[in-house]
Amino acid sequence: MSIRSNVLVLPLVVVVPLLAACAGDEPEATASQSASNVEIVATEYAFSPENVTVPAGEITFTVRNDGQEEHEFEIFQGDRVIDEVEGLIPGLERDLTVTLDPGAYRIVCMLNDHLERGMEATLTVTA
Amino acid sequence: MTATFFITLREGLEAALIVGIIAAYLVKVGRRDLLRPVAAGVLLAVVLCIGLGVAVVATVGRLPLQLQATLEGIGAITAVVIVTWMLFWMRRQGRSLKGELEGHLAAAIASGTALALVGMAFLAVIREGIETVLFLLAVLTSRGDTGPALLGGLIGLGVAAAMGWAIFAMGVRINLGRFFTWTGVVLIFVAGGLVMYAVAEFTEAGLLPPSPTAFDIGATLPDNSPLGSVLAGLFGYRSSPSVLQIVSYLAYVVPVLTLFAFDGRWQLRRQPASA
Repeated sequence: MSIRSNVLVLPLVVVVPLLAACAGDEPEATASQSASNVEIVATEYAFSPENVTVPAGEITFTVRNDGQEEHEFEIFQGDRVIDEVEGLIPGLERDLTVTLDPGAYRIVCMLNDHLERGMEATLTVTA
Repeated sequence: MTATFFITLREGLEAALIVGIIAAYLVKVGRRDLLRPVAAGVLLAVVLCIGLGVAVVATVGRLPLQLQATLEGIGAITAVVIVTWMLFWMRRQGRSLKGELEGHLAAAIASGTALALVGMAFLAVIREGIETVLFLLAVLTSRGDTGPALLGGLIGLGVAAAMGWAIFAMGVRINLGRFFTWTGVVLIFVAGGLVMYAVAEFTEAGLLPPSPTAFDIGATLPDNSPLGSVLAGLFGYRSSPSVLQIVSYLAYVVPVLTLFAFDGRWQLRRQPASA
């Protein structure tokens, strides 16, 4: 295997055993354009970073709850939910892989009144 | 830990309520013999849910959002149909009994339809069970300290089951007339909650248009607070429903409640002498 393949496979070797029963389709990073990885942290009541810019294509969000309350992570385009992580309880971290076209999106937590309290981030997907 | 507790409590309560009502009903109409099949059905449903959930996680990891939302919406609508049928059927049975001692009822209840209730208990558990299992598996496969979270989730299910048992015990004790009246009304609101839930899921799946939030009382009664969770589990409470949800809720509850109240002689006339 080339060195590039090894480097890209290494994070998978670390992540996959952590995802216990999940033998789902891990992104073949070597085959396509480099997939983006974005780490987002949820607290009360904000996402960090608050503004995310990524190239179009496959994006893996690593969402972590560093707060004291349950939070959600929902990707909206206009009024439509593209995908989401629900029930993200304090202390847990989960991956969400989506394929997005260029455009403007929002990341929100729709639980209770978190959105009113400002729990929102902008997501800009560039061409 | 408390977060997962309230989530599974909410999920489990709905199934526990329906199973508790069905079990109490079977006892009251003298079909105690069907309690064991109900328990077996519940157990089978639990095992099937776990198997299905593990199969999903082990193969595709998770269902695509639109598909999961569509399936949950369909499941909820099916439950609405079943619960609506159940409450009118139970009430019809009750009307034909009028003051008969409960022990004599066994002959009056056709075996086929009583068995249908066993099937309904099974379906109620399957529906809630799949959602709960997928949620718990998502917790289990997250990174972080999942132990306490999982434990909280399991305790939530235990408490829901205990509350279902309490409903069963209460239902068995109250007199027949009151039982039919109260369970009927409760089930109407349960079904109304399911209608709102189906609308939410179909909206998420893109099958229904999004609509503005009708009101938001999340600051007063948060969805994941203790009371909010119980109300959500039993009656589908949500702190910030959309306009479409409120409209569909009323479109279901108002006619059905009216039909139930005025179609039944239990409500408008003095009840016959009860046991």
